[in-house]
Amino acid sequence: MGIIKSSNFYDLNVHALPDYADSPSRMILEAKDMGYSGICLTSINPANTFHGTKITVPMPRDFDICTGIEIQADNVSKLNKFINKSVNKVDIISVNGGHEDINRGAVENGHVDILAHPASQGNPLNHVLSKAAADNGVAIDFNIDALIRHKGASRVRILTALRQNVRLARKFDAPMVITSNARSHYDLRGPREMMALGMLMGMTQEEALHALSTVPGSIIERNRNNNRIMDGVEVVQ
Amino acid sequence: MKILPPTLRESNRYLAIFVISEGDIPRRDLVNEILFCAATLLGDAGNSEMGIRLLSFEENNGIIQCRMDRVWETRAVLATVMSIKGMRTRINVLGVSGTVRGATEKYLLTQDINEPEPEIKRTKTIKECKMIIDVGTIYGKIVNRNNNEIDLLSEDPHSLEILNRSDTRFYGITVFDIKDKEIDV
Repeated sequence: MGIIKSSNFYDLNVHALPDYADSPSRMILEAKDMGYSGICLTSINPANTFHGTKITVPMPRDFDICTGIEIQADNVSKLNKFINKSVNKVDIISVNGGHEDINRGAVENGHVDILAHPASQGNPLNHVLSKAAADNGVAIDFNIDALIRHKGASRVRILTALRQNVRLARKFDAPMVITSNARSHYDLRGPREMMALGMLMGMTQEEALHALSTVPGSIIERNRNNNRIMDGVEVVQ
Repeated sequence: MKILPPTLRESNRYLAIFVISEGDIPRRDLVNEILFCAATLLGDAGNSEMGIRLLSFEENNGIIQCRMDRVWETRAVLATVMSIKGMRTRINVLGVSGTVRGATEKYLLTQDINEPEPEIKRTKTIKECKMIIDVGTIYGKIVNRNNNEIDLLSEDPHSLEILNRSDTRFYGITVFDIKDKEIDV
């Protein structure tokens, strides 16, 4: 248990006002209480505009607050347009997945950090997409709200798809992240509960721990690092 | 009938929990919801191996018993609780211990020992206030207050749309978001 206690946990997909009903400050306070070391406040709206986060709460110590945008698009050319528009404006770019074309467009774009809920319609990824995700460093998201919100047959279908995603990600070594996709503070869960749900999707305990701590940590680190120009190219001196 | 000797008994773990909800939750509804979630998530066969029981529940603090090697599954079951009787609910697991006494002393009574006066202000009085966010102003009534955290009830159509989208009844805000500071109770 020592290794779990000494890890830093991050939740990279949390929605707040004005898109959903909780203010950023409330989310930060609740997440800090639960034992997270950082969250990403993600804007999500049909216009794909990034709301600057005005955080009114006095900045808590040892807590990392990132800004993000979750891009929704109907087709790949629009998706690429929106991605290019939000590069350098936000810390973390995620893409609202689900459709096969959008999933493909997202994993083949090096600017994307997270492919959010790719199994939301019950369709699993395939070997081509997982391999592309591993090559471009796009993290595959396992959203626990699918297990919380859905009941019955739809939950079974989504869980089956998530299991296959775990298997493929393990095989091709694609990065995995577990996120809450929270729409209010009632959707947030503690780090260990998130790990438990990740283990229900077929991850081992270590994989679930990495998906909640080191992988999101390295995504934040990578995007905060100004010396990085693109994948594999970095200013050393 | 002889009772089973201690060496042959199943060993248990005890989870200290804290329930956060939009309203007051009776013990009976909480038990029903947890058992229902366990049944839907793991089925009858899986549930029989877990041995989930709610031992005590007072003022939103409780203790849940489960089998020693099924703690992770129990956490998963508790995480899938979404609402009780239409009120949004979240169950926080504060910690796990090997005895009831350990769980109580370590996780449930810590506030009394370390902080003599936790100064938790819980009020049910309703006051009008307004909050300004970048898309406009939200007027509402304060429904619940717990230290810095405030639940705000608002009834204009734009707010209802946002609240419906996120499946809650109240805006969750903090005292830092409110413009006029005359809300001290």
